[in-house]
Amino acid sequence: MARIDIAGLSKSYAGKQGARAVDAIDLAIADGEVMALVGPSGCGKTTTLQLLAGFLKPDAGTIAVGDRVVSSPRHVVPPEHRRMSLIFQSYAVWPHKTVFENVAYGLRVMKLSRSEIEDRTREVLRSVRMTDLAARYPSELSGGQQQRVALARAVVVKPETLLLDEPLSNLDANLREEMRFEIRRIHDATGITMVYVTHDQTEAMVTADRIALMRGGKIAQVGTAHEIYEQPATAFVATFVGGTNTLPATLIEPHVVECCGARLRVRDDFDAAQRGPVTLCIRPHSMGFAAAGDDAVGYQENGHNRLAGVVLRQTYLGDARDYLIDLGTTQVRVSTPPSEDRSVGSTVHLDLPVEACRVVPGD
Amino acid sequence: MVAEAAPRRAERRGFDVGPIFFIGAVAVLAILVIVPLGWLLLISVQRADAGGLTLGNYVTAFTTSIYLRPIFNSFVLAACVASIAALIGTPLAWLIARTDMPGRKGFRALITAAFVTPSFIGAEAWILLAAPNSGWINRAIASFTHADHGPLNIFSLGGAIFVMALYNVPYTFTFVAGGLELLAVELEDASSTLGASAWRTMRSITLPLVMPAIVAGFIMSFLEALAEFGTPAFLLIPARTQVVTTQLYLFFQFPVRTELAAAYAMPLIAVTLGLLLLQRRILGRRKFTTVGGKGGRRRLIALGAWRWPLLGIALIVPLCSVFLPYLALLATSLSRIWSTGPVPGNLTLYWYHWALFENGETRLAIVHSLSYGAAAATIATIIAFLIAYTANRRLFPGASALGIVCMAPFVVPGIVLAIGIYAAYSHPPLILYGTAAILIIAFTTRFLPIAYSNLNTMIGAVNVDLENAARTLGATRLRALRTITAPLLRRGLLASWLLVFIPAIRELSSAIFLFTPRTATMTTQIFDFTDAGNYEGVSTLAIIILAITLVIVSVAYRFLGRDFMEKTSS
Repeated sequence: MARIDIAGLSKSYAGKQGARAVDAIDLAIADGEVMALVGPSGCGKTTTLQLLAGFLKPDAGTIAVGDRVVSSPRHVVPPEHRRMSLIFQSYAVWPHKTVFENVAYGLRVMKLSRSEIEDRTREVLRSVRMTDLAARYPSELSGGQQQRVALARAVVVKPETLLLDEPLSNLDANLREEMRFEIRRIHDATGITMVYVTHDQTEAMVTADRIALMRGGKIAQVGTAHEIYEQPATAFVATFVGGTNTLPATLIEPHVVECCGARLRVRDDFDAAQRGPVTLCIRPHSMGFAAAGDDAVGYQENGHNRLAGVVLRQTYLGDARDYLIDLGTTQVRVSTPPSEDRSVGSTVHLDLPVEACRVVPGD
Repeated sequence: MVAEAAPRRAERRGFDVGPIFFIGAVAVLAILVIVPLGWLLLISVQRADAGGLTLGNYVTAFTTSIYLRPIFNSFVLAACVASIAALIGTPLAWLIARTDMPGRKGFRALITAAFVTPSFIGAEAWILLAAPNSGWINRAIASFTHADHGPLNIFSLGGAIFVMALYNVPYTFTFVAGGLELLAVELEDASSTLGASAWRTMRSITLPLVMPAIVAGFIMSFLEALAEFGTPAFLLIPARTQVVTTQLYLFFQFPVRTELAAAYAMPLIAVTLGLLLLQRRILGRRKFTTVGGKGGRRRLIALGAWRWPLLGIALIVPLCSVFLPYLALLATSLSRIWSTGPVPGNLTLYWYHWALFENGETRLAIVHSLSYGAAAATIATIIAFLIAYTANRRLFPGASALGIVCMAPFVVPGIVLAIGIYAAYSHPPLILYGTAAILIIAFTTRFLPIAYSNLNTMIGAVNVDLENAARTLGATRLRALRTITAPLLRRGLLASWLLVFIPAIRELSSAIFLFTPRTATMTTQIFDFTDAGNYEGVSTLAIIILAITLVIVSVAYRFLGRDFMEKTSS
């Protein structure tokens, strides 16, 4: 019912000639799915959400909810007729209305009977544990409580879709964790379709069924958290989700790259036409130090790759040690157990498991 | 809790009335601003004998010597008024903002009282005090020196400069006091620690830092004096000295020469526009000079033994602008015959009874002033709110240009605006001359910029998310505006209403061209009574205007804060 189809959607701000904030994106969101739009600031995720909510008119492309086209360059169904609720980064809880009045607003717009407004408002306030604070004004609430009011206000009208714009970014770490589960719980109780914008990949992983990673107005990759983490489509995806080292490499034969003067075996392969410059991605904690005295480099028969480097910097982090290693042509970060103590300036050999070596196209 | 996305929310996709409101606001704006200003421009290049375009009006207006003299007089008047006001206002501001002179808070109240007193009422009061033969001060001096008449003559260029300077002191005062309050004390301390004397610090640090504020105050006073009609009309017409505004008035005496008046008024608009742009640049730079203000508790400069003597000297200003005039007006309004003076036997409440009950004309004038003022304040607030919203939220391309239209009347002196409105609405298709509507249009247009600049800032400060939240919950734009934005801005809306209402009930310069006996206001009655020499009636109406104003201002101060009135000058 609330399946959302985005097709060829584009929007630029400074006239149609300006740089595109959203650049011909396609995205299908299933009914009842939680889709996270993730990316660095300026990637177009908030613009996409504003387009979804109907506050902006697209320059090209369409947004359809079910079988109904709600946005196109010719016509935009105004926000009030889209049956989408939006949760704002700023909460946007009205300071001149009490908690109860805030939550009841949407029901009053629907012209429901007084008793029904009362019942539904009380019910939703109970579900977000705000019953005792119903008569308070927002200025008397904490940030977390205001966020719960915003949540209650958005869901009490039973929208088809709930849009969330960085809903937790103004909360402190503890509350954020609590609210992540709160949002997920509301989803599981209602089966409502959600589109969740965040720059925080952990938040996306906890709350979303699938993640659409955006960059420069385009969608870099769509998939489950597991897919995006394990099979990043580009170096950007790998770097943004979980963090990774990117090493320039050349794919020379199936599953073999040349990198930092050594031949390494990697997990991925491309067809012959795409061979050439690629990027080798390996996460800091996937590497380790080889035993002392073993100074061969390149692919080893035991299923591991070896590279030699010099320790530039090490930082003790309690549960881990963070190293910066100079490989000659480039530098990598390595995360090891705290017991691995190598002094700055010493030569080390890095162990790169084949399974952890991913290559993505391009350099 | 919520079962499923139930189709409860009815799809009220009916006709959205929202756009009609915004289009309506734009249409009203056209009636208020664009049509009158367009007509003003048009008739200035129109042949008097109907038909054809010509520059002849400009040639006549600016080559005939009897028309050039008033222009010269206007600039002399404005320059003197602004200089004197700045020379008095600056040290006063320093005394009150930076020193431990006693009674500073009360002094501020007196400055406010002077600020809300129209200078033409001050002029009336000073006629009572310093008319050549009958003025009380003159008579007091004469009886003392046994001369046949006193030395003062308020009916002179000097008299007009004196009265107008008194009521322009608050401009420089407000600007400079504001600047001094923001000025970081450390800037002065830095100079003192380097061994500079207090005098040298003031000369080389403090004064240059507040110089932009002084210049801005000077420009404001200059423009006020240039555009002022009432005071010159009362003090200079009897002296047969004309300034531009009184000359414009004469163009409207028989035979009416609207075309010439329109051409003659153009330089006034040009000078006003130029000086306001200059003032804006200067004030824009002031921000830079006061960076780092507001730090900690202010340390006041100890005046020592000079505390009381300086207060005494400073009090001369409110003595002349508030105490003496109010006293003169009050005493006159309570005297059966003003020349006899407020002595036992002559004291009476007769004139109040006369003004409020007996005399239908004055009673009606009071009702007119209040109702026209209220109508103008209401229309101006609504239009300013809708236009500021339209411009801020960019409801359609080019919407921000509407803001400029709203602000345009700011550069048009009231008397000139009245010419435009007269030209636009005294012939078909829309004949409003002689109706209340034309006065309401004049007051609305004249003070629309105040409401607009006030509300524009406030709407800009409202987070758009607050409205958008209502939209996603099913509210139309208009409903969101009504239930979210307007209530959030209720103080701002009330302030705007009052900021239009207060000047509207004491507006003379535009009313004088547009009223007819059936639509007379308190101010036009004062004008007529002055002509007829009924100073008791003048004083009574003046006291009623002042009382209404002071009550509203003091109530507004209590509820809206001290800085609410200062918006009129920005």
